[in-house]
Amino acid sequence: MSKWKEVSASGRERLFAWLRRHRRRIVELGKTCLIIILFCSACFLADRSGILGQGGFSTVRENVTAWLRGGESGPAVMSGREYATAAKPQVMAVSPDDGVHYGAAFTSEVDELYERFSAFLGEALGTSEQIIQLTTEQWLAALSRRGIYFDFAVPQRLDCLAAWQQTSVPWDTENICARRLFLSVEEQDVRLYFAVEGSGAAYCCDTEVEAGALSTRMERYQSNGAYFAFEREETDRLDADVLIVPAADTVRGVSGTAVSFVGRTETVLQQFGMNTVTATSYQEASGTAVYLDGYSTLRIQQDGLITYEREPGQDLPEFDLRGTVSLPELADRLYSLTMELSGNGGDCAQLRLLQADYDLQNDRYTVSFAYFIDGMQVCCGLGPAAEFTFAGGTLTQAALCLRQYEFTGETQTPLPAVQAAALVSASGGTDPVRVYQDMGDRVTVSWKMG
Amino acid sequence: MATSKIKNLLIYILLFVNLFLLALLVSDWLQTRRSQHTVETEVQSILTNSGITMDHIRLPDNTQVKSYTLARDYSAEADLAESILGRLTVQELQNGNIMYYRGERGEASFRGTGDFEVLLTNHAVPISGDTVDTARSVLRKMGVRAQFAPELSTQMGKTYSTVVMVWEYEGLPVVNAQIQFTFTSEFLMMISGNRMLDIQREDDTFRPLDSATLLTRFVGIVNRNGYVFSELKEICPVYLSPDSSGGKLTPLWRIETDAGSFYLNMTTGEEQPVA
Repeated sequence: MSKWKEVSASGRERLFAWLRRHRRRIVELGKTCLIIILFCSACFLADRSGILGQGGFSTVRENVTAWLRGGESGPAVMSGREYATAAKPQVMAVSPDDGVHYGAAFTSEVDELYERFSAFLGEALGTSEQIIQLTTEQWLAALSRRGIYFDFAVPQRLDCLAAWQQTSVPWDTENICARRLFLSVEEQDVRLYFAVEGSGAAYCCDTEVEAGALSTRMERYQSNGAYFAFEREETDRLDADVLIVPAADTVRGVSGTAVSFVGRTETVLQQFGMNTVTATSYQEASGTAVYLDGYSTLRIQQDGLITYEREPGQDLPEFDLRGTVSLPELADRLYSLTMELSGNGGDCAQLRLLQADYDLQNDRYTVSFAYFIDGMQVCCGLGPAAEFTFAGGTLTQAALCLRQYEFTGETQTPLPAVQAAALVSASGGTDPVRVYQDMGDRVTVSWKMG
Repeated sequence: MATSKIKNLLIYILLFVNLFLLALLVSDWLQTRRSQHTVETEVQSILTNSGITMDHIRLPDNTQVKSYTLARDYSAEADLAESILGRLTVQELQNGNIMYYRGERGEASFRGTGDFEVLLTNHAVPISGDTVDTARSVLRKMGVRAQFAPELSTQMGKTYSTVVMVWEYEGLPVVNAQIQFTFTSEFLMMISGNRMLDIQREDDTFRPLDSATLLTRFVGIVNRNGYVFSELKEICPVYLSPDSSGGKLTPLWRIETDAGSFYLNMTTGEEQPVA
């Protein structure tokens, strides 16, 4: 035991001697450790106290990481191409049971419903097969069953509808356009029904959508009195597959002004691929400024309307479509152009794709955009917000009626849908569509005959 | 020597900063506690006047809850499939955004809607312990946190033939993302459900209403819709996964009463359906 004491005593003496020799270095090391601990503690306390902003250190870390990566943000996501703009339905119905409909029409609620069910529509389009042509009676019978009804108000190409859901239709759609589609839940299966515009024919196809998953998402909806025109005698003069949603509501008052291009002429010319240096210009008696550059003619009217024309067959590199551009990609490109010129349409309006179509016979593309406020399209007497025509692989015509809208703080009570349906059918129309009507000096809510 | 003096100065500065931040935190904490207590008292009196009791209920701290944007990440999905199926031999993107996987232990399909189904080969995952333990061990391999939901599971004798787990993120249940494990008497046969998509980034625009406002909004909803109940049992934050193949992970309040559960959107204060 004494030997052990001797050994430990001598060990302690050596330790103390070593400490005395290296006292300064140990103190400095201690200070360094203390600085590191205090720094980490300060960072922790700063994060907890919110001094670094709402995201705290995680935001700072993300920003630094993004800077080090050269601007990349977030992990790579292998998803299909997502488009900046896509057509959306203006009327939808969820039928949780046969003959029971929960409908939404020309309101922002349609957007919420579409967000809930658009993935199923994409899956149905992407897995559609065994296409069968139907009679009108079979189409209407399907609408009475359980399912989801989509009405885009304007015919949409099926391949575009699928592309906007990051998928593709597995059969040759041959440019089929459909305005109204219906996902029918039939026991264990889900079938896709659609009515083709122009021919009036209806089709259905099998899909691989899971009936159980779709039914679960439909469960929460109950009837709100919505019905199809064919289900009631008083609406039998309308198109049979029009959905009437009787719920009375108020809409927000809106005012509109033209977008000014004063001082932005160069931007407009550049957007249309015109050379700002070599283009010549003159003013018409009406005050319209006209710009000429080669085969392109651009007019900017005093009320803000822009029209563009180019001789067909004259290539325009910025808008050369040959070979590679799909219709949704073209729509995205034109959407960017229109947004660059107009912004989004003010505080309350949203610029949205209305239609993207391709006429195979004439090799002509048409893409049009409209403003939407609270789910309702804004109709202007001068035309849609923007319309572009491509022929022979290049842009030949464009007309832009760009506006800015703001809420006035007032509300309007539009004619209820049931009365509007009666009025429209008495006037010889078959399809009532509720819109904001922009008459230049004022914007009102009205029903137009579709 | 100069270095030593600089270090001393740094230590003094950092000490001062730490003390300042600590004082800030403590004062913030005290203020929050005081206002929380005031809020709880006021709200309790509002509810009592409406004939609803809420004894011993602690209001959640909404500032701690965050929202996130989600999107479908195919590589994360493949990792998930591989964790269940073993080495993947087939990985195929089919029409309609359906991803099909086949591995050593079975096959799986994942859809753009978030729904998925995994069919396992016989005895690929034998029951170990009981079915709930087996389900938990599979979840650990998947890297998924989830809570067992006995009320949604199917009991058979002393065990569960179907075990339902509710997906969890940051400790909060994602109410509409459930995983169902279906067992035979000996092994796990199938895993199905709706998965929570993959986190992309925090949503900086998320601004939750404070607890008092949310509770007041809830009282308004109860009065407007004529809901009848007499006791609030629990209020806790939960998440709602988006419906489509992308969107935001939305924080909600789940309010348990003696007549059922209600869900309130933390941003709008509106009732939120979760089915």
